[in-house]
Amino acid sequence: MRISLEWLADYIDLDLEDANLPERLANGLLLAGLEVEALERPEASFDGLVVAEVLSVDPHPNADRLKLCRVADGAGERSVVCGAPNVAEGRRVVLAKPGVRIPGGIKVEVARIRGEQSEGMICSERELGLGTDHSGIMVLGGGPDVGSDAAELLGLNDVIFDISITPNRADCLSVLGVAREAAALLGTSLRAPEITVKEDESTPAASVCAVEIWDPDKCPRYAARIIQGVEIGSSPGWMERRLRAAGMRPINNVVDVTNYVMLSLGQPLHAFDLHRLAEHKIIVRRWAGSDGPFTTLDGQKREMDDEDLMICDGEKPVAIGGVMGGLFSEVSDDTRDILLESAYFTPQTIRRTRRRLGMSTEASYRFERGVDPSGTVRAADLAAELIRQTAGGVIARGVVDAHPAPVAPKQVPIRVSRASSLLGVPLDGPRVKESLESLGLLVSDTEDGVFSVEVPTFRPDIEREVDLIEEVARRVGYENIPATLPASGSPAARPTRTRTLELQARRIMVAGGFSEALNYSFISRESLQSMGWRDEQMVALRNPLSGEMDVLRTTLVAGLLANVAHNLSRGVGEIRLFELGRSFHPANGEALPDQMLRVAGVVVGSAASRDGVSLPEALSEVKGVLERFLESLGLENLLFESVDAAPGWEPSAVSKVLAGEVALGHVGLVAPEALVIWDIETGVAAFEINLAALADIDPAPRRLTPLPRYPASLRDLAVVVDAVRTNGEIEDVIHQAGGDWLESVYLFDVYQDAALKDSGEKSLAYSLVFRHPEATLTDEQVNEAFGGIVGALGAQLGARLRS
Amino acid sequence: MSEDLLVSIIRESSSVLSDAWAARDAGAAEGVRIRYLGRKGGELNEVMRGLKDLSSDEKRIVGPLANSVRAYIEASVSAIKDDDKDKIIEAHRTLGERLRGREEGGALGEMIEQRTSEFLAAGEAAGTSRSRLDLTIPGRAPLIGHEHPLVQTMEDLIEVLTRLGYSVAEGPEAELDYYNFEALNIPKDHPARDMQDTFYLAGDALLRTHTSPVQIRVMENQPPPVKVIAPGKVFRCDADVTHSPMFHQIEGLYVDEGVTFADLKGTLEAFVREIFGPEYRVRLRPSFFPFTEPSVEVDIASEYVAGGEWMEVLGAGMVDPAVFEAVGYDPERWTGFAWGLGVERITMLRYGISDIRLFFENDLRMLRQF
Repeated sequence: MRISLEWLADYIDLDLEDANLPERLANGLLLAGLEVEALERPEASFDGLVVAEVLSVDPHPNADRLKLCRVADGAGERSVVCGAPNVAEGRRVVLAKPGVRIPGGIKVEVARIRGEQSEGMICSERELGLGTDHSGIMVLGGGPDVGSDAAELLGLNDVIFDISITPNRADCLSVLGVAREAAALLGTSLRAPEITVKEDESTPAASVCAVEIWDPDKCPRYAARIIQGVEIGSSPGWMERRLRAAGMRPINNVVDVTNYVMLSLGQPLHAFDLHRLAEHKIIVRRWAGSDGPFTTLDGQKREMDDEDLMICDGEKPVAIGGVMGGLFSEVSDDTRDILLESAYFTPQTIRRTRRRLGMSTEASYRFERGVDPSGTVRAADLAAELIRQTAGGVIARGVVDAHPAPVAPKQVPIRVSRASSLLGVPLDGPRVKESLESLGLLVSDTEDGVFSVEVPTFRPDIEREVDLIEEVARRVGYENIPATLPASGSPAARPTRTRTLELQARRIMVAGGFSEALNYSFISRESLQSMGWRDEQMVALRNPLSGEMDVLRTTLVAGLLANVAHNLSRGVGEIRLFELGRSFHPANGEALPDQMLRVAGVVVGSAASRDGVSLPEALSEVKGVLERFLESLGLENLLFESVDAAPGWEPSAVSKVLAGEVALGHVGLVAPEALVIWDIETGVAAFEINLAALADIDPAPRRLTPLPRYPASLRDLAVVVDAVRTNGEIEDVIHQAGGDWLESVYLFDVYQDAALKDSGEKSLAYSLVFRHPEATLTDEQVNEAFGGIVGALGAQLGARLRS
Repeated sequence: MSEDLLVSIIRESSSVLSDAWAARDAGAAEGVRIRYLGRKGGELNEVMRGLKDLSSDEKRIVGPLANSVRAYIEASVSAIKDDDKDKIIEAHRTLGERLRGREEGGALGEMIEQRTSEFLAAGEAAGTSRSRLDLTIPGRAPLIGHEHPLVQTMEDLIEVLTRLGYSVAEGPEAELDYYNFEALNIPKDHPARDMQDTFYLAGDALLRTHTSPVQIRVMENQPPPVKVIAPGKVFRCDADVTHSPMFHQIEGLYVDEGVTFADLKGTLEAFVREIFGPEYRVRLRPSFFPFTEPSVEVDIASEYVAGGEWMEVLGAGMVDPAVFEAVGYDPERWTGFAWGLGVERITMLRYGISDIRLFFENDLRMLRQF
């Protein structure tokens, strides 16, 4: 909301000569909750900007596009060279005399332009800092006096407060409302507008038009005034100036008045051309199917529904109530008689319709936040009188005021003791009373320490005691409330198991060389599809920002692949990334999807890359860091079980990760189809684990294993097996057959030469450690255990020792 | 006398060695070695051989001195051959120390020190001597990962708040309309819904627009008092340089008997100074959130940052009685405050990051800076 200081002075006494006033007022408003986002003040004085009249326009002898103008500036006549197409004899314009620095920053001088003397400059809107229009010079409406101060007329010396109004303060969407706050701040009183309407006693408005409200729930009040015989033209300079200051463009004297009154009092108004209203009648009702689409005054044809409130004439809709008028009934240059609407629509109604239509207007913005239901007639009166003054015509007697559902002011009690205890500052009755009264609330004593407060209808946001306490706090000033620390309560609870797991995973991943990524929880459906996820496995957004992010992620790997692509395309090497976050899965019969905390890691494998690792190395690395993480949790019986298919994984290179019976996730190579969509040409190894599943497993208690006191005996074992055998199978047999003293088994080589390849075999070599806890093992003992292992491998897996 | 002979050997040998060092003349150095230490007719060897004829008193003086001179010549010759400045300086220093305390030692010592500095100067003049290990070469970097800067900020904030007695609570990112809006006093037709552009899922589900729904979930599940923080991701349909469709918040909630607005003010001031530093000023001003009353916007400023301009960092307020009613707390008995802050904004202020989108590209060149 843009508020002009000079306009504000209509409603409160302000010392406009006080140079510190704007700053003080802006700060005061800010600390009262009206966030002044910008304070615009004139950068210089504009002595020398005057209203001039163009006396004659002649072609410039040396330039086709320029004109030689004679202008009267009040003191005399002067020659000015001007290039604007719209300069014409008789027009009142803004002349910048030599020496003045115009708001656009240019200093005007006497100059010879193509050989002709120019003693000043005729200014455009843009040059005056009033707008962006530079298509021609600014033509002043309303016949201002020649020679008068144009800066004054255009409000160039005015100070503008650009205030961001929170949704609860509908009352401050007007100059009057902001003035009320300013009055409380400055300790002065508000001057409510006094309006005297000069009516034509002979014509009762009710004899000209009729108003019927068929839906009082949506429209509790509709007031109409009739002004006949107006002449549409431009508004007086002072009104145009104020509209411009508020950021609105002048249109014509009637429309300008409706906007002007809305800005002044906060009540949106609409002017209809009376003769476009069938039967000169207004019916306020819901849209009916037979009405068909409705064309608003911006020329758009809009589909309506039967919850939308329409303003209709005797036959058809003429406006969408509280949102926008219709094209057909709009005031035009030929309009003579006007029906002026000032109504109260319920906020929910307006909000629903304007949201459905996806539009917002100055009117709907105010109605949906709540205008003053008691202010309808006052606004109609002020607007009618201003139209009479600026556009002529006569005002028919009386207001046609349909008022089926009056809104009464609320009575809200406030306890002084409660205000003190909630705010933590001692307050007494007089302080509370005075605070509330300064804001225009009516406070009456009822019993000790309790006030009954009558809340005027312009403050629909105040409904409860706590709302009044907030008003008291604002008036006391947050800066005057002490800062205390609450008595310390009980200590913080221990982190949850999930959070502990998250912290542990992060620690291990970072230590293992992986950097942490954070990706959006949404991703493209297409990227998940490329991984083999089906639509019914995804949770879709109803209103995505784009197709790049239209479903919730089912896996963290998808986002990490996007990051891999980003880094590869920028030539970044050694790509190791991990992410901790949630994945989302439809949950049958539940209102919310399943949301699982996961950790995933990726390593880019590539033989070509300068500092890259090969794909098997990459896989080994992700699996290694995953194993370190799971081991650090004290998990026992970790299993890597081959699976045939899992979304996003290369079928021949993926394992399911299990802790006993509990499935934790997968580790393996990302399927090529999932890489193509990101244009990744190298291989990517990855793992993804569900931390939520881990949270359900109780970790084994951590106990020290005593350090061995007796030496170990080492034996290397190299076996040749059928190529389909896995290390897991072999290790299982070794452990089973190794006896009690086999301490550990370590695979140190996997080997396949051409001969082995031909025979469909491979060789694996293990380092075996034997140790007895209380004695040194003899060679015979170790040999016996070793022999047992070799025998079992031969019998169970057909393995033979490598020669 | 043997001792005088030794002194003259020192004088002469050190003079020749000095020239040899200056010229990096290994041949001249070898000549010195042969002259004094040569197996045949080495002058020092002669002195050593003659020791047996000396009295035991003389032996005690001449013997060690002769050994020192021998060590000095050997070390110096080898230093010259190796072009090792440190070694030749060390040889002189050692000899200087041995000579100290002798009758003639003062003068000799001075001479040797003089030689030492001559050697130094000569060495510099002749160019480099044998170089030390170049420790300006960067060490080999172990590959370590980096926590995401947003996570670092978030964990720092959690650490401060945990110290202030707040427990960490969590809630779902995909949330019900009831928790995100209704229970927080934001009914369907409330204009405040426009303050937060919402992503909707099927039915009543949506992506939470703030971490405030966690307040409701926590209060539904436990009786007061409550003292929790809820860090997490939140979502709004908005994307530009300063807005991301997903960002992070930390919510705080404290409910107990007798909690006041003054307590909120004190807590926020303590918290801000803890995070940003004691030089920050804190300003509270009235604002509007449907779930708090009175509501507060918190600005901070430091004369060292942004020219002392006030910067908005968090929103807060006293829990609205309607919220207590929604979770079945008696608003007459319990009061409390809540606040929420944006982690991105604080991280951007902290590290001078101006484009919020950088956080989610996960460019390793960026991540590795933190």
